[in-house]
Amino acid sequence: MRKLCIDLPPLAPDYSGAASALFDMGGVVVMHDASGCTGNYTGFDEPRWLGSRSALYCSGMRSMDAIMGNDDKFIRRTLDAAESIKPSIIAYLGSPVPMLIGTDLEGMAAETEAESGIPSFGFNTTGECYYDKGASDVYMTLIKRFADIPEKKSDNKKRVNIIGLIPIDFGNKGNDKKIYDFVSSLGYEITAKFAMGLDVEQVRACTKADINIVVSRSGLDTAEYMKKKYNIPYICAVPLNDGSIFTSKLDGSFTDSRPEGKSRVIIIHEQVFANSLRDELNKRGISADVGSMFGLDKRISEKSDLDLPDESTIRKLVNSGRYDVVIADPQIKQLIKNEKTNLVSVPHVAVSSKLHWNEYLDYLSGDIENVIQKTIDYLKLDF
Amino acid sequence: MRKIAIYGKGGIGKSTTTSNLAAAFSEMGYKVLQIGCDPKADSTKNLTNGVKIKSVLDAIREKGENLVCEDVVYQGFNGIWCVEAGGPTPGIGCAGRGIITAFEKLEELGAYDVCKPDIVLYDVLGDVVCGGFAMPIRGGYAKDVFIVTSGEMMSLYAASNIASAVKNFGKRGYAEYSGVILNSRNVEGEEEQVRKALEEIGGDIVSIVPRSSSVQEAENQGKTVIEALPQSEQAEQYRILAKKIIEISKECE
Repeated sequence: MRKLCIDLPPLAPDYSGAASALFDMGGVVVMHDASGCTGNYTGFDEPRWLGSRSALYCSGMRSMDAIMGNDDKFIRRTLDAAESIKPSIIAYLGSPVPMLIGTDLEGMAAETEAESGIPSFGFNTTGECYYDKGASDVYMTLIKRFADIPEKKSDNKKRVNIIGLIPIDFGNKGNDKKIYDFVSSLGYEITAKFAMGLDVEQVRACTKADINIVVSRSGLDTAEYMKKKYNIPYICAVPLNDGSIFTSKLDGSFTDSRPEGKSRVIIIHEQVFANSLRDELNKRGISADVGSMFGLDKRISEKSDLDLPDESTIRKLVNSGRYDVVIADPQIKQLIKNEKTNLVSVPHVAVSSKLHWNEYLDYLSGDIENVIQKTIDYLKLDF
Repeated sequence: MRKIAIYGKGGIGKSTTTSNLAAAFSEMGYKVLQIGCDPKADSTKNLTNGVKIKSVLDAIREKGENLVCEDVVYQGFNGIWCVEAGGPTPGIGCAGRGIITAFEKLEELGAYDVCKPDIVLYDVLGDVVCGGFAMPIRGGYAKDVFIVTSGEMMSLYAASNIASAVKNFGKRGYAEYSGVILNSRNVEGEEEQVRKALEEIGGDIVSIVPRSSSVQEAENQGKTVIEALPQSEQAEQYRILAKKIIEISKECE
């Protein structure tokens, strides 16, 4: 019961992350569930859903299907859908019931591919993990299946992959386009956009990249894999504000300038974004810690960063008096009872889903400067 | 590496056959990992002097996230690696899901990298009753399925069900049905009965293991026949079976 959310909405699960990563692929995606998980994704975790043409289906699993298996029925329906849609890929996503009864989604995909000839995948999402794992599994699986063997470079173009850009972290108010345009403006050709704007051809070409840019934690395992397998280095950073820190990280000239002393600011958000925002604060002489509600990845954390596994831990932390400023999703405000602690809102779909996805910040604009200024103002109040 | 699943009706002698096979393989110089997939968790008992080892599920219950490979992988007779998947308290929970969880945990703990086996033997309970008990024959696990049967009607019926379940999964790239091991019960015309059934089931008799009191004698000592009575005729029969299985089974990654 420790994981119970009393005030916060349920956090985005792995099947939402996987579906989000597959959204633009032009595939048929079947979520194997009764309808609640599909509804959770389309209604609460996917700002692109309304008005979209993405072919996401719910298998409509019922208790007799769980008892009898009925894999054949679902495969047949999927094949029927594929016949009319002619998708680039077919993917089955799991949910809690298939997980419990041991549905072999990879086996179903193998049968589907044998019948249709269309590359098919089974993702063992369960609803027990968070969205970043679901998205990460999709990137890795697609690369292992489609990526071309790297060839010797025949031109002087600088190429990058951007990995981990999904609306659950970046919203759907244009951050994707602005980030892609910004990276392009630095003279880089974007080989593959994992995942807003991704297609199979991009996945095939992704081994041509000179560097991977990990913009959220969902891209980290993939970047590690590509470093080992293809010797492609990576950086972890989101371009924020005027993008200067990001640019210095990309060209290798970045120098860490973390101020001394105990932090009075905590950023509770997606870890790569939060780290990038911390860099912006550090540049102004403000020290900040990062807290993660989705498990703290030690590979990209600092010693003072915090794992915040449940609502009660966050509640205790934000009321402990340790921090004067909490930069987090607006939903965190209701947990703050300490009058001296101030919230600076930075919405995160993974936390507040549709409640605040229309208020998303424009990461490459004055919005981030406003966050910094509010933080400075709040800190001054207590100086 | 060879990955072999042994199925068959409950009580037909799967664990006895599997343990003796493991012992025979180890005598031949192979590194063997035997994974018991029965909630009773007694598949490997005769490789560990009759002492039951801690099952993966029991270890998960006790240690949670702090579990390490050494908590669930034990070495028995002649260096054979022994693992028991385990299961829930009888009457509650879900044994099939338990098998899946145990297999996932073994992968997570890197058990195959620790043991580096030449042969993995999966000793699976009774019948392919649900997704969980099909786990050992799914992609990445066993490649060959051998079914232990006698000439008794119920045993052959179970063998037929198992073989058709395995064949049904052909398109999925699961394990292949590779034949039956006739564990004799001294039923009249036993070999004939089995051959007749195989006309419908398909496949062939890999080897005939005669009924022998030496099996009981060895089990009373908590040992396989190969360990307890290595010079016996029965031990030789298990060695013949092991050689046949090496001939038939496929090498895989």
